[in-house]
Amino acid sequence: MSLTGKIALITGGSRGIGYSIARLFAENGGKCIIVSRNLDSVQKAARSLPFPERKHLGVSHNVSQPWTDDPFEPIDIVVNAAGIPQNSLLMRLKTEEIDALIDTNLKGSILTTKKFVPSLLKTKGCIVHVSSVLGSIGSPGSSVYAASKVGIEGFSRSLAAELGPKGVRSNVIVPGLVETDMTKTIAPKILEQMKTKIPLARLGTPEEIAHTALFLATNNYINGASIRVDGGMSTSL
Amino acid sequence: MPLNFEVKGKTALVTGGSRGLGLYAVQGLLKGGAKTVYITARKASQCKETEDELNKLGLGKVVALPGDITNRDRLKEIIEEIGRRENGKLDIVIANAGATWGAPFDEHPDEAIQKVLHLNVRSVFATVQLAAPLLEKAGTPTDPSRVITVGSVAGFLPHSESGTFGYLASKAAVHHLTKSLSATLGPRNITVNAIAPGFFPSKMANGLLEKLGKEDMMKNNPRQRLGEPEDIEGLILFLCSPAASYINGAIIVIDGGARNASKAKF
Ligand SMILES: NC(=O)c1ccc[n+]([C@@H]2O[C@H](COP(=O)([O-])OP(=O)(O)OC[C@H]3O[C@@H](n4cnc5c(N)ncnc54)[C@H](OP(=O)(O)O)[C@@H]3O)[C@@H](O)[C@H]2O)c1
Ligand SMILES: NC(=O)c1ccc[n+]([C@@H]2O[C@H](COP(=O)([O-])OP(=O)(O)OC[C@H]3O[C@@H](n4cnc5c(N)ncnc54)[C@H](OP(=O)(O)O)[C@@H]3O)[C@@H](O)[C@H]2O)c1
Repeated sequence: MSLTGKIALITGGSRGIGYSIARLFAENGGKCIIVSRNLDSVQKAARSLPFPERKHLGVSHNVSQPWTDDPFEPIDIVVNAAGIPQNSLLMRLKTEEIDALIDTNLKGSILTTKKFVPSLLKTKGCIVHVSSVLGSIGSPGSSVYAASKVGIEGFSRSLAAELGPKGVRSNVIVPGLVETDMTKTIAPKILEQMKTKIPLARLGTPEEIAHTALFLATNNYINGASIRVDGGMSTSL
Repeated sequence: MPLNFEVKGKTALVTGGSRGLGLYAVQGLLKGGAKTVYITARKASQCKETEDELNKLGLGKVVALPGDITNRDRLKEIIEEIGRRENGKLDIVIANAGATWGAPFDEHPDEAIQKVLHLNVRSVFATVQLAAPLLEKAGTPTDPSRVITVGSVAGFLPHSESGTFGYLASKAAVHHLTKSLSATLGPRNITVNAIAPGFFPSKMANGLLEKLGKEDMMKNNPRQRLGEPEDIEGLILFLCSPAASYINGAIIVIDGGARNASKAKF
């Protein structure tokens, strides 16, 4: 189960789910390269990871932009966790907000995957994407976010067939509601209402999502799968 | 250190644990530190043999409680026996025992459908229903007790080259039953999830593998191979460990990606 000697690149690694994944990977022997827009926070997050002697890196990059051709070390695991939420109804969304959602959540995962496929082919590595149950549950105010998230699932399934024979796996984690900055903005009353729809009656923790990422990085036969980690919130789908 | 994929000190029941996928599940639990694993199967001699073999590993204890689980009275006895030995508590149930039957549509026997649905669906429900009080006593909000059902990619695929009509329907039923049980039992600190394996060589699968061509099946699988014991061991261990405590009502496909690859057949 150990990631000893493996190098993981994790977008959205400065906080929330991405950071928890980086921490768990580091605790299990991996070296992490974490990516987010804000240079200060991503470097600070990288410095706070356990086992600093492995020289974890914090890289500032906006995933909606193409990667430069800078060489990177061979990457064994790519985790696409960078993402932004949608906070308004479609009719109030500005075009720039629509662009940002699609460009960060969907195109961002595509561009990052594309950048590191050559490296993954050499290391026979794997890709873990982070989607959301809100991609499939019809919930008001999530329209473009939902489109961006189900898009990732289609992307991953196709990649699994395309890259599987070359030894590279692609899978998706589909979280329900998770305690991070992203869900902090939900009004307490609405949050309580949402909890009544979750059989386990609570939100998930970023650590719980991280453990599924660690599992996917270590099981060799799961490919093209989506694993829901949502306490049972989405069983009617 | 982080939470590992461990089941230290846990007790489990694995139906159909004498061979095949059930056996791999038992091995995964033992490697993860399970204290006692109870296994059932009809054939008492094979059940005993598996018990003896696994107890030689010097890991947790394996106890054979043979019986036909389509016989509800016997199933009840088995679960009561576990309750007596474990102070009314049980942490994990793997409802794995299953069977298949293939025959052409026009002459497909009614009995085939009945047999397959009885073991693959009705007995899965019975196993969970009868074990629920023991599971409820063992589960906590942070570390719920676990039910794992064994569905199949066959539960998603409508086309059966070998006339396994009851089997395909039974596995779709297992997936749906898993979801409804997860909604009912989640509030009782029991999570319910299904694994949906692709092709793993076993007594059940070997006949079909022969027919469909093993080499072809491997070539058409995106991972270029069939499933192996370690794949199931790892998945079962993960799902039963504290690491998976928020996963509930999930159907986890483990097939190398074959379900999505257009050339793969089942
Ligand atoms: N929280 C939930 O309930 C939940 C549920 C389902 C799915 N998810 C998904 O899980 C992922 C992580 O969410 P989270 O809750 O951990 O969110 P979060 O706490 O808000 O963290 C988001 C991370 O993404 C980075 N990021 C955002 N835009 C970026 C960009 N354009 N380029 C590079 N990095 C960017 C952020 O850093 P900077 O701001 O420095 O760029 C930060 O590290 C997202 O894809 C989200 O959609 C979350
Ligand atoms: N192998 C695959 O490729 C594959 C793929 C997807 C899903 N599955 C599923 O995995 C499960 C196990 O299949 P397998 O391939 O490991 O088959 P297998 O090798 O035939 O094993 C079946 C097990 O169930 C036991 N069993 C059968 N009928 C029983 C009954 N009435 N009461 C109690 N135990 C009974 C068998 O022992 P006795 O015969 O002694 O009773 C044996 O231990 C099944 O649910 C199957 O549908 C298998």
